[in-house]
Amino acid sequence: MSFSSLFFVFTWLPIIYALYALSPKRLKNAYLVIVSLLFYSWGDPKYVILLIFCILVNYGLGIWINNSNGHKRKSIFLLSLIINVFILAYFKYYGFMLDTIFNIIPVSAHYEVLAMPLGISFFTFQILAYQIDVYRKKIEAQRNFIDYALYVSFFPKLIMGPITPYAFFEEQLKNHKITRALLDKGAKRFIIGLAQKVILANTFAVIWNSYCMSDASLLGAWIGILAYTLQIYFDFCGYSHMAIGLANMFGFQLVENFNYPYVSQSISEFWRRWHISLGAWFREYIYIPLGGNRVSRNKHIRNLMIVWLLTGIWHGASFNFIIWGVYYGVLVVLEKHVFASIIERIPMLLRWICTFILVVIGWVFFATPTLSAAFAYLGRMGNIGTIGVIDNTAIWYLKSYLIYFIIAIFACTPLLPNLFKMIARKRIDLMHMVMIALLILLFFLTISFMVNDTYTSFLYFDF
Amino acid sequence: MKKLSEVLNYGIGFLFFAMLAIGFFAQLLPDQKFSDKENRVLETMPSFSLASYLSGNFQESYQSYTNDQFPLRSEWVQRKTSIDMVAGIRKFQDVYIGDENILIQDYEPLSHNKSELIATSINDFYNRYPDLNTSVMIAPTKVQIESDKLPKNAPVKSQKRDMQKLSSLLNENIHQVDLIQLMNQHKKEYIYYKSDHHWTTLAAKYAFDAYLTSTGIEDKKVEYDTYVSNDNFYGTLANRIGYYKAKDIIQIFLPKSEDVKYLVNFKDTNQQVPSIYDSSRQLSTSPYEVFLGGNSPYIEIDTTVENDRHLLLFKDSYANCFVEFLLPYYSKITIIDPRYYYDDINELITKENVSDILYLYSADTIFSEDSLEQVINSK
Repeated sequence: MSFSSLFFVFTWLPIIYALYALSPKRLKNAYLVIVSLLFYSWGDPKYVILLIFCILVNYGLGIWINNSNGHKRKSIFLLSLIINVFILAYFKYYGFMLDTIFNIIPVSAHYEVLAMPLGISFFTFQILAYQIDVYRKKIEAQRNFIDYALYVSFFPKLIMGPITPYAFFEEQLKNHKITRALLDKGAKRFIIGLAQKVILANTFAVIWNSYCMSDASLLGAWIGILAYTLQIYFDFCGYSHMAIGLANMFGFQLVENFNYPYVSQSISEFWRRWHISLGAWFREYIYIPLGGNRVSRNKHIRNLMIVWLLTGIWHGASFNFIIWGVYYGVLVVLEKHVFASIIERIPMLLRWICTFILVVIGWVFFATPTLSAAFAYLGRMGNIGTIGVIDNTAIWYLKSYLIYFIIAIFACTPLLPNLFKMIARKRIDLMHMVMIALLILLFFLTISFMVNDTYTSFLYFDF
Repeated sequence: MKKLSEVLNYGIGFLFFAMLAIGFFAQLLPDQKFSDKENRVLETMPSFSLASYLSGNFQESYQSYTNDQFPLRSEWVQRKTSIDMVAGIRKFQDVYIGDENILIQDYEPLSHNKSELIATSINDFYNRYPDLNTSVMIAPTKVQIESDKLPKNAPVKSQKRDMQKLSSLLNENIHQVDLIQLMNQHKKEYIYYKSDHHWTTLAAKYAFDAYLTSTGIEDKKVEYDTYVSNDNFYGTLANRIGYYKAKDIIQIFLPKSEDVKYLVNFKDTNQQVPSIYDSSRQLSTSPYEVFLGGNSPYIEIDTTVENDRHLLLFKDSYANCFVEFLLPYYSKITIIDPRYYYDDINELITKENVSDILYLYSADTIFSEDSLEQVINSK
C-alpha cells in the first residue's frame, strides 16, 4: 500500500502505531515483523511467501558463513550470492531477457512473464550487502531470527528503501525506543514527504502525462520534461522522507537518500546527492572491490562503466534504463578523465546549468517507454518534429502551473530550511510556532489533494 | 542544551497523531451509499475472505471504501479547487472555469475520423430506409458557442470543424439544421447553463423552431407559458469539480392550450405516466432529470394528435428538454437512447410504422462515443 493513500494515513498508521506503543518492549520487534509482512501482503499477497523464503534462507546462510572457515566459507558465500542474484534476475529480468532473445532470433515462443514482486530490487540488495559483510567479517551474523527478519522486512524501507546497511541498523535492533525528539522529527518528515509526493509530484505528473506522447512545440517539450524532472524528484524524495519519518516515529533511524540533488555542479556530485543509499551500495560492493580509482586510468574507466551499466540495469528491465546508465557512465568518465581541468575553470553558475541540462536529458530515457520514444522526445527538445516553437497548449500549461513550478524549484534548494534556521537562532519561540502552524497547514492542504485524487464524478449516465 | 531542531519541532508528533486519530474515528461514522455530487454509488465495507485477500480484491475494495467514505469528502475537494484557483489554474479535469464563473467542458473527440464514421452510419441507415423523413441536428456545446468566455490560451479542439465535416458528408436528402449559426444568433441569451453541460430549454425551443422550418411540417403556431422548475440549480460540471459559484435556473415550456393529451410509456420498466415531467426530480440533486426522469433506453409517447406521423428520435440528454416541443406534432414519438438500447432497431422500425427520424445530439456525445453507430449499423 502506498504511504500516500488515505487508507495508510488514516487507518493503517493510527492502528498499528497505537498497538506498537502499547505492546511490551520484548515483543515489539516480533510485532513489527508481523506488521511488516502484513504490509507487504497487502500490496502483494502472493509474493509475501517469496519474501519469507528469502528471510529464512538468508538467515541460515548468514550464520553458516559466519561459522565456517576457509574454502567452505567461500563456497557457502558464493552459494548465497548465486541464490540472491538468481532470485532478483529471475523475477525482474526474466521477461526482458526472453523478449530480447526472441526479438533477435526468428522463432516465436509463448511464455508467461511473472509480475515483479514488490520491492524486490531493494530487499535483495540489502540481503546481498548483509551476506557480503558477514563474509568479509565486517559484521557478525544476526542469530536472533526475529531481529534478522525485522532488518530485512522493516516496512518503512521494505518497498523502496533507503537501502540501509546492516551495520547501521544492528545496534537499533536491540536498542530502539520512541522518544519525543524522534517522534517530532518523524512526524515532520512524514508530513513534508507526503506533501512533496501529493502536492508536487502528482501535479507535475499531470503535465508530464499530457506531454509524454503527444505533439508538442519546442517550449512544450521543455515544459514537459522539466515537469518530469520535478515529478521524479519529489516522488522519490517525498517517499524517502516518508520512509525515514515513519522509521523515526517507530524509534528507528534510516540512512539518508537525498541531499538537494538539483543544486549539483557536476554529474559526480549529482550522484552523491541523488539516491545516496543506492550509490553507496554500488560503491561499496562493486566499485571498490573492482579496484575503485586506485588502478590504472583504463581500469578506472572500466570500473566506472561497469558500475553505471549495473546502475542502469538495476532501475529496470529495459533498454532505456541501460542507455540511461551508460549515459551517466560516459558523463562521469568524461568529467573525471577528459574535461577535469577545463571544468575547474568554468564559473559555478555555468557548471550548474550544464549539469542540470545533462540530468534533464537523462530523464528523457528514464521517462519514456521505448528508445524510439526517447529519441523522438529528444528531437522535440531540439525543435525537430515539433509543431512550432511556441503553441497555445504550452502557454496554457506554463500559465496554469507557473506557481507550482516556482514553488517546486524553490523546494529543490535548501534555501527555506536554511532561512528557518537562521531566523530560529534569533527568535526560537516565534519560529517554533510558525513551524508547527505551517506543518499543520501543509498537512491539511495535502489531505485535500489526496481526497481530490480519489474524487471521480461519473457524468456519463447523466448525459 | 537542546538542539535547535528539537525545539523547533517540539509538539508536532503529538499533534500529528491527534489529527490521525480524529481522521480515524471520523471514518467510523455511518457510511453513505450514494454520492449525489459525484452521481455514483459509493463503495461500502467489503467483506473479508481469504480468497479475496489473496487475489488482492479485498485490499483494493477496502482502499476504495476508505476513499469513498472519507469524512467531508466534497469539502476537501472544494478546498483543493480553491487552492488551485489561487495558483492560477483554470482547468480541472476536463472543465474550464471561464469568465463570470461559467463552467465549460472541454471537447475531446474519440478519433480524428469520427465525422466520417458517423456520416457513413447515418447515410447507410438512410439508404436502408429512404422513405423515412430523416433529420439530423447536432447541437454545439458551450465550448464552441461561448468560446469567448474560455480562459485565455485555453487549448481547445475545434468542434466546429468536426461538425461541418459531418454535415458536408451527410446525404443531401437528409434535413439538417445549422445549430452553430442559430446558437450564435442567440448567444447573448441564456442558452447554456453556467454550471451544467446541457443547453437550456430556451435553446431547445430555438432549435425546435428551426427544425419545424427545415422539415416543412405544417406551421401550426403553438404558444407557450414558461415555468421555473428549479432556480437553485448547480449542474454536473459544478459537482464534478466542487465549484459552486454560479447557479442556474431550469425552465419548462408548457403550451397555453391543453388540447394535446399524451401517455408516456417507459418500455424498459413498463411504467406508464401521463407526463413527460418527473416532478419528484424537480428539487432533487439532479434537477435536469425533471425532463423524462433522466435517460431511459426506450420510451414511447402516444399523443391525441390525429395524423399518421410517427417520429423515431435517436438522442442523448440534450433532447430531454426538447421532447416537450415535439408533442403537438406527432401522433406517436419513439425515443431511443442508443447508449442503453440493445434491441434490434430494424425490427422496431418495421413493426412500428415509423414515418420520421430525428437524430438529436450534442456534439460532445456524438463525437466522443459510438453507441449510435452500434445501434444503427446492426442489420
